[in-house]
Amino acid sequence: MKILEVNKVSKTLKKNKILNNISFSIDEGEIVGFVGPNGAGKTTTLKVITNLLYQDEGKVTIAGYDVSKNREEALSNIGAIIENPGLYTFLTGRENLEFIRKLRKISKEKMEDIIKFTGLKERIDDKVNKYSLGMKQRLALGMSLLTSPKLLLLDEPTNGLDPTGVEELRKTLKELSKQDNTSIFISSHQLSEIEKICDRVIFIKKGRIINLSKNILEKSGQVIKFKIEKGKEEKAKIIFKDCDFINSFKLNDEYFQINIKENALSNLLKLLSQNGIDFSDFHMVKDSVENQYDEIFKEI
Amino acid sequence: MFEIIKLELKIFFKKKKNIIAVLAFNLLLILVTNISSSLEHQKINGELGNTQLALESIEQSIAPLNEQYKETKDLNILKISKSCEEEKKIYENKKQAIKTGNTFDALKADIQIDEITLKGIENKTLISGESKDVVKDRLGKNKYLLNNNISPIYDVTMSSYNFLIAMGKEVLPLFLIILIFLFSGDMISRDSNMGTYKLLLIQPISRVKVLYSKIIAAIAASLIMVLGTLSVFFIGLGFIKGLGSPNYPMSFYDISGNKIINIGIAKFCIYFLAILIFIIIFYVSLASLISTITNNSTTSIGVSITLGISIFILNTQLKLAPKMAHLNPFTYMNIPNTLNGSFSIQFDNTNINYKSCLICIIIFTALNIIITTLIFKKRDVIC
Repeated sequence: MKILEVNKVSKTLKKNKILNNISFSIDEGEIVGFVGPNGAGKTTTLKVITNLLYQDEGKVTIAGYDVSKNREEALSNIGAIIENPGLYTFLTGRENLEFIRKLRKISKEKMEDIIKFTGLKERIDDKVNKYSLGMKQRLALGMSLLTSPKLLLLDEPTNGLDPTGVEELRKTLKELSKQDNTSIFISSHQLSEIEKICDRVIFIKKGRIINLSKNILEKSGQVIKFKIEKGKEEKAKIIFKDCDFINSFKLNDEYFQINIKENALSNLLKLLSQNGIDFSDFHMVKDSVENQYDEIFKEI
Repeated sequence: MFEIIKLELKIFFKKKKNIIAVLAFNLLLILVTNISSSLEHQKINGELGNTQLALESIEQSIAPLNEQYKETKDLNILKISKSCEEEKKIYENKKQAIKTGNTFDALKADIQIDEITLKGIENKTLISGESKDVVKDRLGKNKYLLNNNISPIYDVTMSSYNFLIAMGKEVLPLFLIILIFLFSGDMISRDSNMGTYKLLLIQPISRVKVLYSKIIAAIAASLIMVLGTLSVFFIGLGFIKGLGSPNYPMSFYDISGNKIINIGIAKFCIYFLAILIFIIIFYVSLASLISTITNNSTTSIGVSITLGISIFILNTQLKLAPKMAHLNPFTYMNIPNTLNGSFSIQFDNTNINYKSCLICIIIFTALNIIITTLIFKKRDVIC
């Protein structure tokens, strides 16, 4: 079942078309990355999904509810952190959680579980303005999860976190997705962080969704670049086309750039030697997702 | 909704600016109360001095009158001399009463003096600085006080009831604008500043409920702070200086008879407090509108206070468009002067009365809330 469907959504802010006819969807239990450079429209998309911004055109549905028409029903299925952790800093961590707990009529036991989950048990009665950014992020995540949402929306959640914090967040999100079948939609401009936890990635550039038809993470693996002897290009193309461990390939200025599946490097070398194709200047490019990211956003 | 109201109240009572504003309000009331008390002493001393002067002037005129009578044997002069003797006695009694603090004896003396004055004005044997109506009105009031055993007070007397009226005239008209806008001028923009706006609006609660929760909390907090402070002073002064008689006559503009009548001070205070509550609600509604339009707390508080004070000054001090003044809610900020008809006389506009005050304030409050709701509902949350 689709937990989120964004259908032909456009949004103009201050005469700038921020979102241009974007469409995508997320299935239950899926972790989806939402990647694009700064100003691409990631936060605007999240705000439209959460009804903080009203779309000019198109439709957003959460768990089957139209966000514009059935706002309350739709929003009751989500937990979200947008831009920065929105916390009442002069209240304690517990008071912040207590507010959401009472507002959404959630049991005390669930709140205690969340306090454990955030790892802030020792500091939960401290005022939030004494928390580090990482602690604030954890508390905000706890508040979003307090309602056991079907869809968790996270906007740049790794911002300000140290490497350990980022690693912890990754683990947490994976666990959430596995245990509670929570769908997670994470926006980031740092692809390296997204690709490790996401089932797939949606790219956005200048308010448009890019390469949505291809699930690039399924094709993730290694990108190899090499030069082959002249005159054998066409033969190579035919061989590569029928090969099941090659995701994609292209020929640029005598160089083949081939995207192969993980651990398929030896297969490639074998294939080349079996078909008598000599190669030179053989080197690995960045990993596939990052490479695609660069490809997509190189104009920016 | 109740949880948001509770949270907003919690935030309100934790905000330093609100605590400072309430402390400043308390300090101002203490200051004005003390100044009023010292003014009351000055007034009593002044009264004593005036009585002494009147007494000396009468004494000085008695001797020549007596000598003139001896020479002329004119019975009219004897009559005048005798009336002067009577007046001398009255003033001596008054002087003694003021010295001993016997307010009722002083009141009796005042009544006798006013009766003589009135008789003199009517018989055209006396030229007075005061009109017949003023003397008559005072005489009626003083007789009422005496008959009902009510101790007379000055404007500055800080008995509990009179304290409310005095503050309504001197402190609240301007300070209430500052106080309420400080309290609630950032009720919406504060969330933009803190980043909690998004947290609130992504909850499955309608935007209108969020807005109304905030407005209700701001109204409740403002009422608690203002009425609470006034109540503390009312009770405190009641212990120190006494409540004052609830039946003390106060001028009240009666719209049904289109004339000034006297009503008891307690009843006057009830009217005063009822209008004060409506004015506080009006200020909060205006603050919510300004706070919704601006995204910054400091800006919204600054704009609210500047706008409020400017309109207040333009309207009540410079008296622009006096014929339209009854349509401006800021006209009614000095509640006692609205109730007693002073503003109606000052603006030469009989529409300025408590009824149009309530209608005007309710209409503007409703308008503020409707506009705020429309903006808040339709607004994109950019920050």
